[in-house]
Amino acid sequence: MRAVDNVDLLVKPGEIVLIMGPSGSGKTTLLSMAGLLLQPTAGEIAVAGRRINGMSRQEKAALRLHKLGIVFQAYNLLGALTARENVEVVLNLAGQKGKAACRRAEELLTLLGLEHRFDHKPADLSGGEKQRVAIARALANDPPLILADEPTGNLDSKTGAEIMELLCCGLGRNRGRAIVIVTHDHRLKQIADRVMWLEDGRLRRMEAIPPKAGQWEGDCPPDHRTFVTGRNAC
Amino acid sequence: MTGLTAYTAVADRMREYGVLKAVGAGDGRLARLVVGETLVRAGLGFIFGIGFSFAAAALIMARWPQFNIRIGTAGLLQAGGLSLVMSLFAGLIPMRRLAQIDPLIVFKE
Repeated sequence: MRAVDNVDLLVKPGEIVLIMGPSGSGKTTLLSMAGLLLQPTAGEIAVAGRRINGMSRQEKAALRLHKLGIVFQAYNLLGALTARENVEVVLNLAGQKGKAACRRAEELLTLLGLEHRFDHKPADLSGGEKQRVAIARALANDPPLILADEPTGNLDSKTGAEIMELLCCGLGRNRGRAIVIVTHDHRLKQIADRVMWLEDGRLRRMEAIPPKAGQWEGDCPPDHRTFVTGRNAC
Repeated sequence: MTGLTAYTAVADRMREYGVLKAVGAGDGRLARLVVGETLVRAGLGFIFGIGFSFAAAALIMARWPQFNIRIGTAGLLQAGGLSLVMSLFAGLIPMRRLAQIDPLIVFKE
């Protein structure tokens, strides 16, 4: 059985797509491929208009650094670093150092309501605060695409709703950023544009959520789109 | 010893290195990080070692005046140079382990 089989995922700027399905349906595998962390056995992947077939590991790492932000269920913050330093790490990797990186990290953390937590380490932060730091890290290099794997999985419903509203509407759609979320949380349909339902590695149905009043709509040039097309993938 | 310490340090922090890879750190960048840490560790060890050697020499000569211990500059430079070279080699020992760390580790709880 293939983990992901014949699934096409096309995401436009400003679009929020949920990938849902039972455990073992291939959601995280699909996200891993979109995140350039897993090589499909067949099919094509392009991120922000750049096809990755034939790219070296270094080139994929550079693309992840500049064009992708990933938010994990388990936060995956570096425990020895403060909240600010966790965001600065990604900025440093992209070549931004010193005061500029510090300012950018503080600006993002402030946007996420963590202005009083700059110098706190992950062990001192609540689950919601850790996830906000993780989101700030994912946004550090202003990527056009955010991938989130069960971002509310370890949060209570109120905290999860607040964070997703902030990520998807305030920092995502309103800034033309595409977001793909793997989730079991049906409440996230309220902020999504589309839901893909996977079972046994196959796409069973695609549900379009009607746009709400005031929501950004628009087409985009092909070179800004991200897609994963899979035939007998992985 | 330094190589074993470097290797253990990488093995203990696999998830962290996996996270760095997942967010876009290249293998070369991580390799420089590991080698840099190894050099710092070895450098600190060298400084403490020299300090300990001088302290031990002073104590021994105070206790047993018949002994005359001299730690010369040439000897220090030689020891320092050897430490540097050995640390660089030691830093390379965990490279293969580092390259094998799969960034997909970040999706596991």
